[in-house]
Amino acid sequence: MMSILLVIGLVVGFGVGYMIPGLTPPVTPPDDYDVITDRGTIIVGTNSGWPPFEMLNTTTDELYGFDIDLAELVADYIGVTVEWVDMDFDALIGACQAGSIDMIASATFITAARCEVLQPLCWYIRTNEVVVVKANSTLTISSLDDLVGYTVGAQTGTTEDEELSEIAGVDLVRYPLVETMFQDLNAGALDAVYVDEPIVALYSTVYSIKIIFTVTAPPTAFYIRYGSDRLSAAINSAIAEGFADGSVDALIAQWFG
Amino acid sequence: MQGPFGLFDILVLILIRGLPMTLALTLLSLLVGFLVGLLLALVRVYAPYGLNYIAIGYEKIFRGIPLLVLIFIFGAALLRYFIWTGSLANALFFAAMLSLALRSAAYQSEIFRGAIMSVDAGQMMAAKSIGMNTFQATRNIILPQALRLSLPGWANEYAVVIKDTSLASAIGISDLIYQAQAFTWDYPAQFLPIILIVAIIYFVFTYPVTRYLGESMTLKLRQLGLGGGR
Amino acid sequence: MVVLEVKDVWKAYDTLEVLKGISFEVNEGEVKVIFGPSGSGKSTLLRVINMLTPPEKGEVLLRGQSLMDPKADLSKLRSHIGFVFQNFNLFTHLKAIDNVSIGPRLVLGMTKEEAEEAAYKALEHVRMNEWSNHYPAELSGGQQQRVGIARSLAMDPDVILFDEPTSALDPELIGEVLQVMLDIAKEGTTMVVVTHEMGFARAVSTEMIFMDKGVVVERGTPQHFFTNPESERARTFLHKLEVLYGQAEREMNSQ
Repeated sequence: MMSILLVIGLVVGFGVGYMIPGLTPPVTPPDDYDVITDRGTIIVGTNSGWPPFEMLNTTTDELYGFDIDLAELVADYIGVTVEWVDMDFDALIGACQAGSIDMIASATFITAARCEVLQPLCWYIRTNEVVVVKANSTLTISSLDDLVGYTVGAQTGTTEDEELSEIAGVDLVRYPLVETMFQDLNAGALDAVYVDEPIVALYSTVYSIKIIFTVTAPPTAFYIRYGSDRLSAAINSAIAEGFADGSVDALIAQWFG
Repeated sequence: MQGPFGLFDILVLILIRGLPMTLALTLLSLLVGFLVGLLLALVRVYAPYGLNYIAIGYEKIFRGIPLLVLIFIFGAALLRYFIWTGSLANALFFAAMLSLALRSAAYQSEIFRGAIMSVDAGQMMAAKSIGMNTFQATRNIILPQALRLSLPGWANEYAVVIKDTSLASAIGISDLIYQAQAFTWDYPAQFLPIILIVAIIYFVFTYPVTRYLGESMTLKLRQLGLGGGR
Repeated sequence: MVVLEVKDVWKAYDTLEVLKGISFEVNEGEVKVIFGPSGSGKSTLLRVINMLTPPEKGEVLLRGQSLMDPKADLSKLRSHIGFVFQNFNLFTHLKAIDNVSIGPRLVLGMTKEEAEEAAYKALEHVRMNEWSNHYPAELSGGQQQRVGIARSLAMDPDVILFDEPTSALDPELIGEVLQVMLDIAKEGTTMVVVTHEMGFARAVSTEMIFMDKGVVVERGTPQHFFTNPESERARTFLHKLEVLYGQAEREMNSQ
């Protein structure tokens, strides 16, 4: 008897709580651009451990990388400083939507699904996605569909994860951590892994691996919430300026060699 | 991407940079969890039926949600509500601490409730018979004994929480795991030794506490005549 | 001067009636001994007097004040009634001195020093003052019970209730507790004692009350009971006890 009452109570409580915001008069939320410039800082979220875009320098205990430099360049242009938050990749999108962070700078590809919830800014680089196998593997493919029947690893939440999930018949194994994925490749538990090209350079210093297939990745961009045209305009012109005066190309040259 | 550090230096740096944060998070979460958990236990044992159900509801909710989800809720989704703590770093710490504390409270309340109920009924009778009211009796007679009886269970909770703090690295709290991860990215060849040593560090901070509070205290309590059963 | 009045008290647990209309009075300085077979409701009676369990019907008055009155300060009234438990119920986490001083301090409002002084005096009275810094777990049963008596004495109560105070003790320890009870009885403490110890009853009780199956069957002075009890039930019960003691006495005499 009491448990029924409890359930009813919970349902009514949640229902009322859900309706209340709808019943209150609408208030125009402040424009993100104003909030950020008033505060003097922009909160940028990233997921470190993704060379050469964002890494934690173990010598100085500070974040560094291509995205770090580019985001700080943009912030400079707007006239604010950056406060960095280092978060799990999966959590970044939710955090940005909820207002915990203002911008995502984490080597994030532009995909349809992400554009539905967050606003991509002008893209700044295009990398490759590659299929990587052990150096002594004899596997060759001419398209991603050839991976059917094989055990392939990808990092959770990445576009590689999405793309492989759509191919039925591929034994996809998801990894939150890239190092464990490469460990399993080396141990033979995986036939191949599907990753962004830039990190292959790092892992080829440890494991003998080779690239057997390259796909041009979607372009990479920063993301912000929808709703502030002034903020997106400001950041986009910052990036455009950066390309115009060559500073972005200089960064690309510095980080991607 | 090889840096200048050897394995030993790496481990020392992980320790110096990550350990204070891990311990701070553990101790604060346990403390807040203790206060909330004790309150919940008292409500469940002494309060009238209505309040009792609120406490039970709380416990069911916070034992049913995975801790990582809680940390994301407070640390990623609701982060801006903690800005009053002063800085972004403080807000993140507070969010992680809150998640751990609220969850720990749900388990600690069970520990205390069991302990309160296992205090001999005669103690309350004796307290009342010399004229103490329920409040005085609870505070001076029941709780001191119940808290001593809780120690083994509490030692266990400490062991759980210190290991759960590792999940806080998901929102960027610079604890042992976060630092260890950062080093494995810079020194990928040292992955295995690094994570093994981190495991040992957690063990070193867990085993002595559970041994001392758990087993030695149980023995001592039995000598004092508190706590029964083998 | 009436200290305690028990008026027509009834108590039932579910459908089992344990007390059926008990009434008696205790005057200042009197020692009432209540005895009878197990299940007669003796312990329940004491707990009802203290209001540890409320009765179904009836009234208990302490110096004219009813304990049943919802407006009465029950805790305050209880502080004037001492209670000595069969299994001592000492506060296990407190030393002996603290066990005895906590009541005066928290309930009677004495300062820490005053309470400790009162506690020490009470412990001296029961000859446990040298053990004041020991924990209950370090004391024998007899010692614990004496501390329990001290705990009641320290509150300076109007009457002390004893619920089979020696039933849980090893035989060789019974003596020290009975001695203390004899001493305080002779000093004029008002006592209601539930016990099987007939020697004690014979020595100091003002009146003995025989209970069986929830009713008072017979009342009278010790002389009355031990020379010529009226009711059949009392006679049978006392005979059983005599057999126990008498046999021991006879064996002792024949050695």
